[in-house]
Amino acid sequence: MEQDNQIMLAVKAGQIEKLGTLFERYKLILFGYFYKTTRNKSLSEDLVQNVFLRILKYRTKFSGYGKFVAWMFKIAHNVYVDHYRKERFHQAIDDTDEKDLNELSFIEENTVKNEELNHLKKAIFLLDHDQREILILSKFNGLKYKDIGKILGCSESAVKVRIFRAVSKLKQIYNQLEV
Amino acid sequence: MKRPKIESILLEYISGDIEPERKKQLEKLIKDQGYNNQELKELTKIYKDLNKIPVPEPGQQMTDKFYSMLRDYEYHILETKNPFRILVEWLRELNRTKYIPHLAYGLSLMIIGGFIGFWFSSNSEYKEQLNYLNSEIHELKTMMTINMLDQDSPSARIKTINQIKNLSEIDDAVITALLHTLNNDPNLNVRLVTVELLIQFSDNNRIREGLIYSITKQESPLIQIALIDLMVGIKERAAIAQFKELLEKKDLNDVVRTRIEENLKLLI
Repeated sequence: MEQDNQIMLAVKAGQIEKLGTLFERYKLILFGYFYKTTRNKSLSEDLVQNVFLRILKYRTKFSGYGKFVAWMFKIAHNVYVDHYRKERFHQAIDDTDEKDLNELSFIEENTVKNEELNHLKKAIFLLDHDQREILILSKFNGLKYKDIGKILGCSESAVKVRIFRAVSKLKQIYNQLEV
Repeated sequence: MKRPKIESILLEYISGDIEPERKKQLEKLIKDQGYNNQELKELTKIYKDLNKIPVPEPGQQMTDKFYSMLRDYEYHILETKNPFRILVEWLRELNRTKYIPHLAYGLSLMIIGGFIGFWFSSNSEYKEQLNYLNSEIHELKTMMTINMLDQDSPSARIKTINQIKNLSEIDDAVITALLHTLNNDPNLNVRLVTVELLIQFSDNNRIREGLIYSITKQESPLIQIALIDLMVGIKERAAIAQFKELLEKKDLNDVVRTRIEENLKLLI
């Protein structure tokens, strides 16, 4: 299988159609990243689209030295931050809250296990957006702490500390929801 | 031990990615500072459970939009890279598009003149340059063709498409321009001529994929039927999803609907 970096370098050299291979490889991962941070399906689909549009726009800046996936997530992070800053984005989150609660109440009827996940899902959304994002990034296998540091613009040790504090905070919120 | 360092070790532990030496440090930490074991277990569980949170499947429209964006982008790049674009724009601004064929003729003569010049020099060291010149001529023809597909007059665009039939080979740039024309040209006759031309080259993978993608983009029953007949003729199972999507359209033409329903069984 052709490596990500080789494909991206080909895109950079002008073989634009090859971006389709990277899209197929990462569309679900990126969608999951945005969905877990926004809980809005259609917004997440749009944000995935924006990431690939920016990849095309900034393809000449891809050096090929680092991992493609880290570079892609750096772009995804910027897309997320840009949208987060917009008022419309806050509105979109508010819109999904109710829908999501309905969805969760459906899950609640099923099993206790799902109820636990339901609380966890709610708890994640009650975290600060930067804590939520770093937790989601840390659960993606293709990224190491060093890569996350590059994406978020901080050191590897700072990443570890921030993830641990986010998990602690998550547990605290989760316990409150269970009560 | 400072707090950030303790937190780093704790994270390595709860994420299940801790080196033996760091684990010893953690055990010492638990022993010396009486860190709560239960707390650690809960953190480990919650961190692990993050993977179990369900994520819905994105809609098919996300993929469709991406490929549409990719095609538009390819087309945009072709346009902006093209050195004749400026000239054509200038002619268009002056309402002088009728001069484009004259210009093409003039340029061709110039290149042929150069070619003959090289030919008569009959020196073997020029062979390589001749090959280079040949590829330049081919590229020039391609670029001019693409530009001519953008002319204001539908009949001029149809004429260009008919000229493409005479090209010895149809390269990626022309394919992109033709698929763009098929999906975006406002004139039905232009789109019909384009689909007829593309069908002739349907053994080319890129063209076939483009035609499959185009099925749901077409509004005209004539084009829809041409595409349905092609897909059935070449037994293209990849088109099944597009047909089913078309069938979901309430305003789909009855003839098209019947044609799909009759032929879908042959593909499945």
